[in-house]
Amino acid sequence: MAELMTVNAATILCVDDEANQLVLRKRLLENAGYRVLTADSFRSALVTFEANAIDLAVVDYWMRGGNGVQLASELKRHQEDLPIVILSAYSELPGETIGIADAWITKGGASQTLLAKIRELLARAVVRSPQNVRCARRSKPFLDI
Amino acid sequence: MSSHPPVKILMVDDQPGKLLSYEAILAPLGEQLLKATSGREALEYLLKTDVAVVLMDVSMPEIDGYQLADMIREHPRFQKTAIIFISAVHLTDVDRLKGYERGAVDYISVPVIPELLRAKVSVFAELHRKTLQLEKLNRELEQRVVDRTEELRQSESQFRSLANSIPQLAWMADPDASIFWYNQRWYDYTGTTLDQIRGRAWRSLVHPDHVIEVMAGIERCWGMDEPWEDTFPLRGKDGSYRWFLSRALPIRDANGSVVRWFGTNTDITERKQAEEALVKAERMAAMGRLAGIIAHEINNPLEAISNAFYLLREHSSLNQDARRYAQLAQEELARLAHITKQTLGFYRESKQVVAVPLSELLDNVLELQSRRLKLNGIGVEKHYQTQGLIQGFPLELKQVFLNLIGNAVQAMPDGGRLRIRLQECSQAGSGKQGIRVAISDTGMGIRAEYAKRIFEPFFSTKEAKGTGLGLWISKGIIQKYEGTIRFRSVRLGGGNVTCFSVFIPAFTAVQSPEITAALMA
Repeated sequence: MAELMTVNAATILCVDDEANQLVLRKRLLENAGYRVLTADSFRSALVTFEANAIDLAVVDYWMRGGNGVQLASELKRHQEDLPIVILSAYSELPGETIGIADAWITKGGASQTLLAKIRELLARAVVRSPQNVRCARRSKPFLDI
Repeated sequence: MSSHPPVKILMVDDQPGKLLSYEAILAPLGEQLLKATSGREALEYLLKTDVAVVLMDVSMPEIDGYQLADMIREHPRFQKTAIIFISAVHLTDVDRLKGYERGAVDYISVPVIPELLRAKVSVFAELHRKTLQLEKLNRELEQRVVDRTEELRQSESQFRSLANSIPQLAWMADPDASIFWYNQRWYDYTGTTLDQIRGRAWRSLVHPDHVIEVMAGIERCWGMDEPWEDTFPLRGKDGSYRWFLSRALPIRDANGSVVRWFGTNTDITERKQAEEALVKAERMAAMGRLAGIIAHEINNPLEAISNAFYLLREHSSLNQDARRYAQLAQEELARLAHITKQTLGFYRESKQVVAVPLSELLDNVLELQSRRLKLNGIGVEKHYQTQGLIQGFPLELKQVFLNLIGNAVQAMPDGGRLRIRLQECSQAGSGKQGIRVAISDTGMGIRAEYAKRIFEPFFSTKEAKGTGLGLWISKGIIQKYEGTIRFRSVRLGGGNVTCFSVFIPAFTAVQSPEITAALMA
């Protein structure tokens, strides 16, 4: 796998309150060459986000202490270009997710679906801002939550 | 006496002196006294006026008393007029008999005893007065009977027109629960005559599944003179059954005993269907929620397992055999995920209008119907000349085409051809640009007499299978998009071709779906 750990490996924040799922998803993404940070709650996700430069977030829709859409809009408020994938175990997502997440994926599908979507979103982000300027954009202070 | 109206007393004698003395004797009675000196004069009085008592001398010149009595009696009006003969000769038994034969009422012999004469005349005068009063009373009674009969006739006719104007079926029964009258709606609905459904014969119109229970209920209530109420289907003249709420009330007389029953039957078919549709919708909504929860509980572990197998398969330590097993497991998992999505895929509708490619939507509907298409041996022809992009809500649009394609499939139980054409066009009349979807089948066709009704709510040709709401809802949805939905059914060769054509403008200011997601399922 070492050859996949390229110099420009993107950092992905993975948020899910189910430990098994989180571990497996982390390995899946790491195997695909990404640097993966995990959080198992709404609050720890924000803490990790604040402390690290994140290129993309994969967020579970249904979590204890706040759903994925709320987390996504919170993350977007601080970094509006951050690509966000929302995962849902429901067959389809409620209407309010439209316009907040960049993609949403129904759980239970093939692993490749998630990988393909992440590749696509990151490629788009690179085209938009080739000089990785994500830290500069982080201008708004965090709210105390 | 003075309080009574006086009656007329006719005194007949050829001797004026005698008349004067009778007059003197009878004056205290206070009646009206008429004097005649001959039989002829007496007859003239009788014809002109109503006489209570005729007091006459038997022996008179020209016409004697008996002859006069005969003449009086001949006239039907005077057959009951009292006659008192005064006889100056000695009255033999023969004379008396002769008098009675002529219908005479009484005799007085001379010399006349004033008290006796007064007493006898007074009795007859009183009798006459009583008779007159009785006749008057009789006439009044007869008039009252006539009046009441007319009132009754009027109230009966008012009742009938009322009973015929109410929307219910109505009827009346004897105290023994035997029906003797139905309103016109009964006959119109059932197509029967009174003779066919008189008494208890109407039971033949009650649905066979209900008849025993209905009859038992009615006998119980009517046996105890208690109001009756029941709900059951009654057969109409076309042979189909509709649900009626039936009620009967006992009508009692002043003593409280039941003289008749008045009953109505109210058609509650549509209310019942609406209630059933509501119950069904609620059940579907509950199922939707349940399906959502189950899908969530299945998809979560499914995701973890999928990822685990993916990692396993990619794992460097795995040999070829083990990798093959992991791949098989992945394939089966994919199948499981697909089934979950198909069976538990209760959508939640988005609140915003989105671009809907009708081609994809139609393919999706065809996939849902694929099993039945295969089962019925139906060939599918797709002629998509465009992607068919419109702005709208995918779920309700899917509902429309699920209905139309579902109907087409059901119309071809023994196979056939389903053709779906998708093209861009402009609406005839308005010239609006839009998409036309034409769905044709070679099924059983739609009978001409149903053509006007198929878009009505609760109209179904599928008997128990259909709710009768599908096309009605579909039409409502398409109208919301300012589109149109039409159909044609023609005989062609040996079979029928039925085509439903839907036009949807490419851009409309369509409102959010009013119809709940549950009804859509």
